[in-house]
Amino acid sequence: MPAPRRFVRDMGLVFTRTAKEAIGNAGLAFVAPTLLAVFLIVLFQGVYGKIADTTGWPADQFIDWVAPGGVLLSVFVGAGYTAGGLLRDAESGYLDRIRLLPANPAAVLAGKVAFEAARAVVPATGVLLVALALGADNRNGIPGALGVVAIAVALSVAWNGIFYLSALATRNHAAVLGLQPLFMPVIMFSTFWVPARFMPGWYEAAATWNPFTPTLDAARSILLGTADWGALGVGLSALAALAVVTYGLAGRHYATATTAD
Amino acid sequence: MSSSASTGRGGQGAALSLVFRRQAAAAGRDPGPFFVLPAMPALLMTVVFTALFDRISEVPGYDGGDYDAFLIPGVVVLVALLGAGATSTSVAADLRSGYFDRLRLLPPPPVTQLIGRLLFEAVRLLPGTVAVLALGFLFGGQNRNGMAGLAAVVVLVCLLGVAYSGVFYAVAIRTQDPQTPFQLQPLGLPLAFLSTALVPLAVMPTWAETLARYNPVTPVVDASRGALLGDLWSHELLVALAVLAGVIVVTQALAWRALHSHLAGS
Repeated sequence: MPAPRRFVRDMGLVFTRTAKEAIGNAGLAFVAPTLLAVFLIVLFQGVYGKIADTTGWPADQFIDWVAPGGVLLSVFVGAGYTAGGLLRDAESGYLDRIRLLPANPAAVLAGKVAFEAARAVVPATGVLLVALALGADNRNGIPGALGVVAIAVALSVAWNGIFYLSALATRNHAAVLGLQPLFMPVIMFSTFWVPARFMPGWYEAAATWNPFTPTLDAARSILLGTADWGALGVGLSALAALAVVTYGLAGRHYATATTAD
Repeated sequence: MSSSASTGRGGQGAALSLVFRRQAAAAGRDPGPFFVLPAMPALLMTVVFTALFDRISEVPGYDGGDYDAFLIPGVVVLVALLGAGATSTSVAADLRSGYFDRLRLLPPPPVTQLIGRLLFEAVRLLPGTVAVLALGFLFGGQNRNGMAGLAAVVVLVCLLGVAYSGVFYAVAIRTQDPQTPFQLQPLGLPLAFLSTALVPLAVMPTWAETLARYNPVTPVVDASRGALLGDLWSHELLVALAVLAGVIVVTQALAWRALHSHLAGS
C-alpha cells in the first residue's frame, strides 16, 4: 500500500478509536461543552439582555448579538479533550506499541486532531439550535448555519493546538487542564458581549487587536446579514497562524517522543 | 498535644488552632487555589463589566444609580462563591488517607477538624476581598461609610464563604474524592448571576427576577451594597445576617451529618 494511502487509513483508524472513546464518555466530550455554553448565554441574557433596549444597539435583541459567540464558546469550553487523550496514550504505552508497527506515528496525532474537528460540530450545532430557539436571528438559513459551524470547526482545530503543545511539552494533565481558563480573556476582550462602540477607548483598542475578534465578527455577519468576507479572511488567517505555530512546535515534541529510544 | 490541652474547652481551642494552622500551612504551600483563584473571576468581572455593561443604566426602569458604584459591592460578594471549596479537598484527602480515623483515638471530637478548616475558609477570603474592593474603587466603586462599611462587607463575604463551603464539605465527605468538590464550582455561577450582584431586579426578565428574589445570595449582596452606599446599620444588614445564620446551620448540619455517618460506618 502506498505510504500516503496507508497514512490516511491509519488516521481513519485512530479517528474511529477516538470517536468510540468519546461516545463512551459523551457527557464530557459533547454534552458538557454544549450545556456550559448555553448556560452562560442564558445567564447573560437574563442579567444583561435589556442592554439591547439602549440607543445604538445594532441588533433587535441581545441574543442576536451573542448567539454567534455562543456557538464559538462551545469550542473554547470543550477544548483539550483529545489532547488529554493523547497524554493518556503516552502514559499507557500505547504510543510505544504503535512504534512496533509499520504505521506512521504522526497518523495518531492527525487522527485525533481530525476527530477534534468533527467533535466541534456537535456542541456548535447544539448551541446554535438553542440560540435559534431562544429567538436569535439567522438571515441566511441553513447555508448561514453551516458557515458558522464551519468557523467553529476551524477554531477548534487551531485552539486545540495550544492544548496539544502543552500536553506534549509538559506531559502533565494539570498543565493541560490549567489552560482551560485561557479563553476567558480572549472572549472578554473581544466584541463577544457588546459592539465595539459600547466600549471605552482602551477596551475598544484591546478588542480591535484581539485576533479572535475578526473570526467572531465574521460568524456574526453570517447570521445577521451579509457575510463580512474581509473579517472572515483575517480571522481564518489568524487561526491558520495559530495552528501552524502550535502544531509545528507540538509536532517536534511528538517526533522526539515517538522516535527516541 | 499536652494532657492539659487535650481536655475541656482549652483543649478544644488548642485543637482548633492546630487544625487552622495545619490548613494555613497547606494553603501557604499552594496559594493559587486558596488565595488567588477566589479573587480572579471577581477581579476580571470588575474590569470587564464596568467597561462593557455600564450602559445598562440607560435601560428604562433601571433604578440602581451609577452602574460602577452599583456593581462593586455585588462583585465583591462573588469572591465567596466563585472560588469556594478549597479547604474541602483536604477534608476528602484526610478521610481517604485514614487521618480522621486515627484522630478518633484522641480526645477532641472529629468535628473540630471541620470547624478549624471553616475558620480558615473565612480567613482565606480576606486577601481576595480586599483586592477586589481596592480594584473596584479604581473602577468607579464608592464607599460612603468609611472603614465600618468596608468591615461590614468583609464580614458578609467571610460568612457567605463559611455558609457556602458546607455544601462542598458534605460532598467531599460523602465522596472522599478531592476532585469532586471542584466539579461543584460552576454552581456558583447561577447563584452569582441570578441575584442582584450584577444588575437590579428591575432590569431582569420575570424568570430571572423570580429566581433572584428567592436566591439567598441576594440579601447578602443588598446588605453589602447598603454597607457601602447607604445606611450601614440597615434592615438589609439584619436580614442578610439572619439568612447567613440560617444557611450556615443548614449546610454545616449536612456536613456534620455526613461526617457522623462516615465515622459511624468506619
